[in-house]
Amino acid sequence: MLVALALSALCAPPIIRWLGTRGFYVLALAPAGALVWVIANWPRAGESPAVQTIEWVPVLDMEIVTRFDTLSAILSVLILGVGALVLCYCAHYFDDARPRVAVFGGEMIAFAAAMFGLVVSDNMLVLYVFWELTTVLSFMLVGFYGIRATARRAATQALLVTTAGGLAMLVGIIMLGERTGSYLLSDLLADPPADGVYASVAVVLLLIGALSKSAIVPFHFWLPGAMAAPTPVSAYLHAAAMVKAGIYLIARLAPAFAETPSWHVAVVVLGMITMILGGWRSLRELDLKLVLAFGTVSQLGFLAVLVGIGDANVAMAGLAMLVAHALFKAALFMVVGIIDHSTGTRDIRKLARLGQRLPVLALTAAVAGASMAGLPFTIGFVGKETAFASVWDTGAYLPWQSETIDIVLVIGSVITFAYTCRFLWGAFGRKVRSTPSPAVAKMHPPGAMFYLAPVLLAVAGVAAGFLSPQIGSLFEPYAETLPAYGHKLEHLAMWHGFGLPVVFSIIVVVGGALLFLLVRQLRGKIFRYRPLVNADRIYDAALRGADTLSLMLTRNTQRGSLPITQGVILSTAIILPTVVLAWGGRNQLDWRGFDSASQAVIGGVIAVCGVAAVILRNRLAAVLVVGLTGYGAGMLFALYGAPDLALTQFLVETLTLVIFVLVLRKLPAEPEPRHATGFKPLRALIGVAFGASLVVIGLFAAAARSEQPVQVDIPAAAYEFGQGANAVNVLLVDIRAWDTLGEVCVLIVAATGVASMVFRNRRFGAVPRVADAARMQAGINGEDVDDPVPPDRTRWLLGSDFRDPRHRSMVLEATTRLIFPTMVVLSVYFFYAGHNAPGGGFAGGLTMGLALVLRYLAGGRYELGEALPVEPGRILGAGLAISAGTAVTSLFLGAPALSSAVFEVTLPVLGDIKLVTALFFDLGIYLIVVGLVLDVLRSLGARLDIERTSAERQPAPIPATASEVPG
Amino acid sequence: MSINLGFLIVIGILAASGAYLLMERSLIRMLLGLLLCSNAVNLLILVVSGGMGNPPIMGRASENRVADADPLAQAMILTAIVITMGIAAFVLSLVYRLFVINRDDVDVDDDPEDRKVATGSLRSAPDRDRSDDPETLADTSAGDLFDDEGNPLTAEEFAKRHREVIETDLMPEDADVIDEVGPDGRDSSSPGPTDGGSR
Repeated sequence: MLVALALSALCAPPIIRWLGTRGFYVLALAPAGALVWVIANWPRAGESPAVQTIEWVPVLDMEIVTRFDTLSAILSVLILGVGALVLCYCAHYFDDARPRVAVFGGEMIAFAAAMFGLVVSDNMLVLYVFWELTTVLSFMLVGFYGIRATARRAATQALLVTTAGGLAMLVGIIMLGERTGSYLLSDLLADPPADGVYASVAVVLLLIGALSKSAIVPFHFWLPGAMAAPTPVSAYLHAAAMVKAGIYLIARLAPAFAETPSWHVAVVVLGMITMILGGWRSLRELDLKLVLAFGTVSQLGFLAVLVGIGDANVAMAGLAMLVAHALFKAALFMVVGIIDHSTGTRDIRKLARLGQRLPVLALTAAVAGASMAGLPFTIGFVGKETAFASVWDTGAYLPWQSETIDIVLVIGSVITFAYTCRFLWGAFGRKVRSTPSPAVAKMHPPGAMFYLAPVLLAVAGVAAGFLSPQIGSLFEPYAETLPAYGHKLEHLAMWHGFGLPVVFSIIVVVGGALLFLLVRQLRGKIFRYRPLVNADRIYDAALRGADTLSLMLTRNTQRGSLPITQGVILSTAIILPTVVLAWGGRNQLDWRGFDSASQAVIGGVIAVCGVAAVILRNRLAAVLVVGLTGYGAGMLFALYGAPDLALTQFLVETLTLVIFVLVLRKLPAEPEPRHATGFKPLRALIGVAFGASLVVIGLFAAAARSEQPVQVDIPAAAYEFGQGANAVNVLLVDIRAWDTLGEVCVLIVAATGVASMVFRNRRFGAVPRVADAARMQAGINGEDVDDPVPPDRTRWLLGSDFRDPRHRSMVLEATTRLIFPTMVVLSVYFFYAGHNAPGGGFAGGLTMGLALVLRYLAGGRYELGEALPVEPGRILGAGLAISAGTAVTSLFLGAPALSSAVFEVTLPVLGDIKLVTALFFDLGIYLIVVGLVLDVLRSLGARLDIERTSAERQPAPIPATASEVPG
Repeated sequence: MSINLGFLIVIGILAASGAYLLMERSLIRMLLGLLLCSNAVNLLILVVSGGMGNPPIMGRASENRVADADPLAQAMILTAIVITMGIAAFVLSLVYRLFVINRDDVDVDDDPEDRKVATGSLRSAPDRDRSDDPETLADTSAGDLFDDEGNPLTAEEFAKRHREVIETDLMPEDADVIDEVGPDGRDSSSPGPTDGGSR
């Protein structure tokens, strides 16, 4: 059923778009159908309720359990029935089916589905999910007029308040669930945890959720604010459905927790305060909708008291009032919507003699209002009479307590009567005017079908009054779960005979009428001052406080200066480990000097170069000494027994130097004197401390090693499982291949980043080739290309013909021509032999990259295009595809991703060849490295050549760049 | 395990120089600092992983050393080396772009947005505008003065639209200040600031 509702929510927008606003009638079929289902499957007394279980997130005990008992059924009828009517009402409320209206239809049905799910779910965690779903949907529905600041504010306020409550509720749910061992409401009710601090805290947290949702003081303020929503939303969410969720939860938990003291304070006391306060505020409002909104707040307080007392008879009254409130309040909201729609205003001061113009509407409002005020022959009357009678002699409290509660309820009802009068008078009254007010005079009358929903609801309120015995018998299965304290369960009835309740009702009518007249007379005196405490202001202050706090935090952490940020990071990296080290246990230190003289020499050179890098101002010189430290590190790697590392380090260091030079040629050799930062003692201190901390940490880390290291087994394992003698390479392509896959992705990102930094908004393409240069030359009369070749020279490299002869070097060209093939062969050898000897995809790719660098340096940018006429992006993509493809293929073959296998083939010339699938993975790495180098050369090399050329040719436009990318 | 202190000191010096350079403003010097630090840390991993040894390749030995060097540490360093090259290339392209924009230097200045936050107040926050309540900074109904397409309207235009097109669900414009004396009805003539729950 839930699924069906959710699906219809998805279908809703197209339907509205297709049928216009009349589509809402079609949409109304969804909740109406669900309503039929609910009535057909009404839980029978005496039988255990229907339970359905679907597994979901078993780790968190979050299986979806739905349990359909009496209470769920009653609320479902309200939710679905009112939902269907509200959708019918929408068909007339909205004039045109704008896209937003179409989405609105979907949101309404989704809301109905979420509410339905909320009342039928038995698992509290799932209930919480539905709970928050209704919150989010209410945010979207209240924010229907998102253009308006007030609507946004109201929606945000409702969202924040109810979500905060919901989070508190989640904590309460988890506390209760962990204590009782089950997250099912039915288990919780069957076996509530013993009363104690833990249980009280959990219950209070749960109640915060319920109270915030039901707009009980001190969370009441969001509800009047939410009146910025379209009226159908108010009629549905804020009268019949969402605000009832809290009442539902209170009613659900009452059998288990109604006797705890924290419950009394939270539910009953706050409920009474809410009832009086909401009623009083309602008396002073001038907006009809706000009158109703505060009236709703007041009624919700009333309901919370009734269902919270936890007496069977009182609960009967509570359920009757619950149904009554949904009926009359939805009807009244719809009446306001019609008034608003017809006259364009809801302001009491602008409406006069509307009753004469719209008698049917006035009658509808009067009937619904009678139910609200508690006049005879309505369900509201039945509920109030029962409430007055049952609260007076409930056994749940001491007599004086229950009598006080009852008197407070009577006072609340007096106010209710008064604001009902005020509403009717304000909407339809004559207001001592002989003619209708301008707004009323200019109104356009509503269509007949517009009346349908409110009239039905109002009539239902009266019909339910007469049918109260039958309805009451439906409530009784729920009431029987509560203690009756020695009284027998009384059936709901219109007339119980003379007694205290009748007296109370008379007091209510007379007192309410007097109060209404009094307030009308003395309005100016009573409401002169703003209330001292306004929850809305407190909300504002809280938000402002949060803003201030975040501003303060940002201000003090984000100073905007990169050196400061770096300093803070480095200081943390120094202080934190040092403190932890000083705190914890330490091992006996054990150190020795350099192992050999060569180590000492190289180490010394590295250290000197490091310091020199700090001192040197010339950029190229600094780069060179940094490069020296890199070469030194490579030599140390070699001495240490790491040939792979040494090889890679040398290749990388060379490439890095080339890239540096490619960029630095564009920059002045030294930074301008004004940028000289000078010697900063603090920076030096942090630097030295950082170095020292590394030394100390290294000492202690080495000293802390006591177990047999894992490395001892790796070579054997590599040979056995990875089929490779070179343990480092097997680690890279097999044992830790995931790691490598992630790393090559970083390389791809870096390559793409380089290209986009240099090319900016241009489409990428392959490196220009000789043919492009020739075409360009033809187009621009050879002006932008360097002089053509003197014919007598030997051509070593094709592309270098297009370079300025002054920049050409015969020796370099010849050497390149000769050693390029050798380097390519070497790179393939490194790549292939890497599994068993030093080398591998990285080293092979880097060698290939260096070969390309050589071609570029010797022959210029066109030569680069001749050397490898493929777009770098394609190479990168192919590499990633091959690497990832290897991973996926082994998945298809039933092995874990990236596992390797061996093939042995015998070829005629080469003899036996052992092929490990990891080789394909390595091939991907190889291609990615080559792609990276090519990308860098194309961007920082070839592209920067052109930028210089065009810069020198200012102010002429840049034909070279325009034709440089052929596609 | 005994550790080579000489190496450690070299590493310390490298890292100190690197850290000093990292805290400069020039992007190139920061990159150089990063490279120094990365060399230092690579060496540190190697030194901490154990002493000198044979290359971790089956069947190869050098100088009759007893044990193999740690291949795990080597594999980690190898990836680190290559990644550092990628980063260097990327930062260098940043350097170039920065130089093209600045024309004369490659210094990283303070972030203007952060400076704004540091000197500004809540009142100058980007989500504030004139329609906010001057005292509480909350949204007010003045923020409603927009048509359906989001174009701003003046109060008069807004009132006119509201009269002509019957636009429902607006809060009464003056729910907060209802002091005007209406021509009729006691209720509207009552002086007295009231507080509608709306803003």
